[in-house]
Amino acid sequence: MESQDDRGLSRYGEPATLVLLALMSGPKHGYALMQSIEEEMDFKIGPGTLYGAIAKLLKMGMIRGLESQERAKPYEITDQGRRVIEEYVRRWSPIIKLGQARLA
Amino acid sequence: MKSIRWSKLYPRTWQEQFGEEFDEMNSMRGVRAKDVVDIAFHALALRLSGLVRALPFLGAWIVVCFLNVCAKEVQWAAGALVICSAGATAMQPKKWLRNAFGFFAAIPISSLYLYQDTSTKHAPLYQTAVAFIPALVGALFGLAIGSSIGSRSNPRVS
Repeated sequence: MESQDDRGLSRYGEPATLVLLALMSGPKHGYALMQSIEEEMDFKIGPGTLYGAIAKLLKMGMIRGLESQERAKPYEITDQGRRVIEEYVRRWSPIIKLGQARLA
Repeated sequence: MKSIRWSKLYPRTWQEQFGEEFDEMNSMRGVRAKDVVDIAFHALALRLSGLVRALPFLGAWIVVCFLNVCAKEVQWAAGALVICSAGATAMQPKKWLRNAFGFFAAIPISSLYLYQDTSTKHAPLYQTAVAFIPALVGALFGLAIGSSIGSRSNPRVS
């Protein structure tokens, strides 16, 4: 069952999860987030999708904006966001393992 | 070459919050055809969601106009003003004054329809200003409801 905290995360799915995972390694602005998602996770998301996820995560209090560096604004994950992504990964890990075992 | 400001496709409030960084990101990485579709889709979705949110307000506003013009007793329009203003403000407590003025405006605007018929005698148009009272009462009632719901759902926020 979905907990109160991650209600929005599973509803808005993949892009929000990717953004949270990318921010786990430290604050990043839009371009760095896009690079991290593309290079580390091998996912391609469009700029509209990325900022849709950022806006949603900001609204849910899972990330916060830091002071702008020139025109780029970095974001960092909040404690709530960290809890949510930990819970999300913990919940999905056995399912992924089960899937891998059955596909093997 | 001057880069395109893609944020201009988005609603104004979104542009104010994300516009600069969004354009900066797009100028840094470049925008491909696939990205244009992605940006246009999300911008359109945001604009449409704004319109959809406004629909209940518009519907309630039309009901107030209708009752003001068609109901025989003024109490119907006054009651609708209280209920609509309260309902809208309960959903958006921060916009209580805008809701009060917005719903009140339905009365003088719809009254202009009555004044087209010069053979019937109506009270002067400025007397419709009294309709601001039920609109304001409704908004304040909605503000109380909205604040109470807000504090209950998020007890940590004082």
